[in-house]
Amino acid sequence: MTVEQIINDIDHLEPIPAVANQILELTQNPDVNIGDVAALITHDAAITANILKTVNSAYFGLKRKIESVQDAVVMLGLNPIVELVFMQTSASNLKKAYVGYDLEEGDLWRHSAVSAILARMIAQKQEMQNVNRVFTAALLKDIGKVVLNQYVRDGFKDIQYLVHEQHYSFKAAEEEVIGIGHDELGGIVAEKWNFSNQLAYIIRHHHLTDPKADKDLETCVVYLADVICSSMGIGAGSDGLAYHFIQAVMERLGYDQNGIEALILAYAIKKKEIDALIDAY
Amino acid sequence: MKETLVDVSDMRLSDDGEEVLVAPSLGSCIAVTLYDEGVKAGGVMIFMLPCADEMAFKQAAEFPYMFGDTGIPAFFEAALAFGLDKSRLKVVVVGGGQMMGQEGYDNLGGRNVQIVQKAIKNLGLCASHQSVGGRVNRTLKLEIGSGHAYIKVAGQGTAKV
Repeated sequence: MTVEQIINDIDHLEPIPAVANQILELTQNPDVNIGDVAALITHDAAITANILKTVNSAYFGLKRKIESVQDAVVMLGLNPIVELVFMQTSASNLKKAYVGYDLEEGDLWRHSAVSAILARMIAQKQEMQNVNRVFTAALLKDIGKVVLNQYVRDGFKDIQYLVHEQHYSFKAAEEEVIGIGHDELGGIVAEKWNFSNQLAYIIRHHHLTDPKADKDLETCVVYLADVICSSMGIGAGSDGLAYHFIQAVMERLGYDQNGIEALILAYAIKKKEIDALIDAY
Repeated sequence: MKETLVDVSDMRLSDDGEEVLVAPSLGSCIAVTLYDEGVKAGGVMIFMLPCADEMAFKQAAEFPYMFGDTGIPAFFEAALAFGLDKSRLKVVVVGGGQMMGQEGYDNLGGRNVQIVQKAIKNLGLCASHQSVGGRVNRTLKLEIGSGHAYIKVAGQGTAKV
């Protein structure tokens, strides 16, 4: 097995439809026309049907029934609608069981979706402009695991030895045993799918391996959301806590231990509704 | 045997000998089991945060099992009301993991371990077994028929206690 062969396996993923990418790109512009986004969404029948079903669910708690994408965007704003587009188009890849990582069916999906929701909460608190991009990056940060799964399974004993006996992080052990980590592979997936450079950068560096990554606030937010989600064990597998915790990132984003616990509390209070949203896919 | 998942911030008591209570993928959260061999009944509670008091969390009564400081006494009272006898209680504590490099910090897993130890002591109890801390995820299963607890450490196998 070579890294080139692994990269070729990316073609077996179910690709994110181009329209999702176009929607994300459109919404990066602060002067975006809401009607343009609604029209773009409406071109995809599956995405439209899913949005209408989900915006009328208990998670959003709207008093009147929404019957068009246009209405949904007006009532909820653009950000939640873009989130739903990416949740729907990502779920099929992320929902399966990935035994190489000891992840049962739905585990990676839950981890990804909760990470994305936490990332959005952090980004909103930071008043960041590109909340959608942060949400999408957090949702898809582990897409590399979907491709790497079978190779992690084959090399599991060696990876476990490095993690537990040699104190490697899990992704460093992936690199040592397989030749590539799930983060780098995720970055390559993002490029193959024509994601923006910034989105691909966040996915590739969500474990902050690039020395410059901790200067990029969006990457820091995704890192912190991943750390919190993994710490709580949400949809976590064999790699769960085997990553480095970087205190400086928390401080850079203005979080201390109390701030982290307040964030977890905000998630915990809404957990039932969030679970219902995640389980609907 | 039928497995019943116990949700985080919740608890479940059972005297159904066919039931296995499961606390999956605990991370920094902590699962506490109480079991009474005399009545062949027990339960599992999972909390995620240490102290409702510290956070001045006004809705603690609505979510008592979210926190160690409110959840453990409430779970203990519920267990006694369910018919468990304090003098026969077997207590197992599992979870409270943390990431690499977090050990020196005021981390959530460590704080959860501290609060569970304090709360158990305050109730006059003693843990017969605990598997806490470290940078591992754990899954706990409590067999109601036998009282055995199975602790699976991700990637490292399962121990029966």
